[in-house]
Amino acid sequence: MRCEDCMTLIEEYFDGEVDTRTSERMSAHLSACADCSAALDALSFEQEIYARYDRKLEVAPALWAAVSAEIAREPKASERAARRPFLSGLREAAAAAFAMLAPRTAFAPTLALLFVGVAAGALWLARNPQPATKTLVAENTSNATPGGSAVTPSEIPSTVATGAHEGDSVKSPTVPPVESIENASDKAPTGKGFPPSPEGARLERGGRALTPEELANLQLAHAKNDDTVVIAADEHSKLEALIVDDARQDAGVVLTNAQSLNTGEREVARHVEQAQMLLRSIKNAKPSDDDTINVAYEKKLSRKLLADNATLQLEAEVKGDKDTKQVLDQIEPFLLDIANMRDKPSREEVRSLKERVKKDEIIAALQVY
Amino acid sequence: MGTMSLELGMPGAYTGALMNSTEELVARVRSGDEEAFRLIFDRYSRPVLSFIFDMVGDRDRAEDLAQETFVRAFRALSGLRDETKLSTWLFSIAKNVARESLRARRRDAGNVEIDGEESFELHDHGRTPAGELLDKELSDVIQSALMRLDEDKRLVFTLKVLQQRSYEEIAEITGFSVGKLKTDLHRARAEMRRRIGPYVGGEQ
Repeated sequence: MRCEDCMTLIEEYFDGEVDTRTSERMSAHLSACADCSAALDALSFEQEIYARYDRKLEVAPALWAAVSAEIAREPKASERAARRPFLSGLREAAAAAFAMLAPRTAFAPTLALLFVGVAAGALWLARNPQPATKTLVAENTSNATPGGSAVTPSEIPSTVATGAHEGDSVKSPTVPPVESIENASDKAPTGKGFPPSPEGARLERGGRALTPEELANLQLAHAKNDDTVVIAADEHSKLEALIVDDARQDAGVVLTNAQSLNTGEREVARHVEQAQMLLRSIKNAKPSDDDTINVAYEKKLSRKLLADNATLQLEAEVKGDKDTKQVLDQIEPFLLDIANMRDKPSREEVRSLKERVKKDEIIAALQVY
Repeated sequence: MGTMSLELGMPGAYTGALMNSTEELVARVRSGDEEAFRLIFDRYSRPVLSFIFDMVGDRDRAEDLAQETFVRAFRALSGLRDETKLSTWLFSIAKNVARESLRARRRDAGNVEIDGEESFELHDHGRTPAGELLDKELSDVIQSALMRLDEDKRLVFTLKVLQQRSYEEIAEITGFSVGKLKTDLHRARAEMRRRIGPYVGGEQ
């Protein structure tokens, strides 16, 4: 091994981060080379110095007391499960629903039934183009909630899955129980755990359709009762309902506009796109006559994106979405640097940032995301 | 586990903390056992507090941020996928909390710092052999030098040199690529060497 190669790797060697073969080669070289050996000794010396770094920090009992008091105000574990962030809850619920579907021997006939149902639904929709057709179809309509009265989560059918199974419904005293959902799309869940958008999906129980008023009541009631129980259906758009069975939650059913399924992902995608545009703008920024570069707009945008980034980072962290979090973490230092620039930094000041953008290949990374 | 439960709240409870695996502790917290979270706190509060202090350079603020870190961790524990990486995950939260705080402080102060450098001045301790420099003074010198690193370099330097984390762990905590963290670490070491060297009689 040459000294040049050894010196390139000496810190990694010192940190124990080289592979066994390289380590052996370096050990052999170091035992024979005084200069390289001295460099290694210098690193050891420095580490000894840093080992003496005493922050004089003690974890005061008050720290745990403060943490404890704060978490005591948190809901208990079971309540937390019911109140976990909507998207992560939905994602887990969707995964659970599909996991339930997978091993069933009756899955193929179910799919066939779904297909027939979807075809019939599509035909029916085609023949009844008025907005009222995009509603829930349910039986036991005489029990429909009277205008605006609240419905508790426990009153909502508790076991409804994406797909029609026998015995999926649970009778409710106030809300017409939902027996099945027919999804126009029966594709497998996406890689991130979400089922695809069920275009034209509808709920059915062999009875009559829920009226728009009944649907609105359902929405209102759920919105009032629990933030994890969401019903979003726009009367003026095609109903795209997804009902998910979450065996682990007593809260029951989650209905949502299918488009909102990917809201979180779309938010991140939009955010990443904006960040990419911002970095491109910085990368292409040209100095004016006085050799400064006006980045006032970029600064403003960067400050906005920083706030969004922090929120999205936290959401990704909570959801355990490592890939998203990694991208957001990569973006952060750039946003920070841009946000803290002067309105008209010099060409030199911007150059270092441009170089980092180039060196880290951050734009390419964002494009890939 | 039964033995552990008996030890909780009694002298020797910390022995229990050492014997519990992180997976067990996380599972217990998830099932509603908040005492298990106390054990997690006991195990990780010191390194987390030190790490945050190294990032923000202020004792009181570090304590507040450590508190925030553990509260966030408690709230988000259900989202932790790999329980064996609890420590890395906690440091990741601590990193975010610290960076948010630094950012907020810069905004409040209306500072404009291209590379996030803080204006810490080193005291003139003269050129003194390391052994003769008092530990207190040495610690002041190290802390001042640390705070003059830009945030990314300070982050990787702290995690590697002061917290002895592996490159893989640092990459997970920071979200940096291994290439970037190696570069930042190399530069951070060089800067620290340049700033501390004169005080400890080393090279430079």
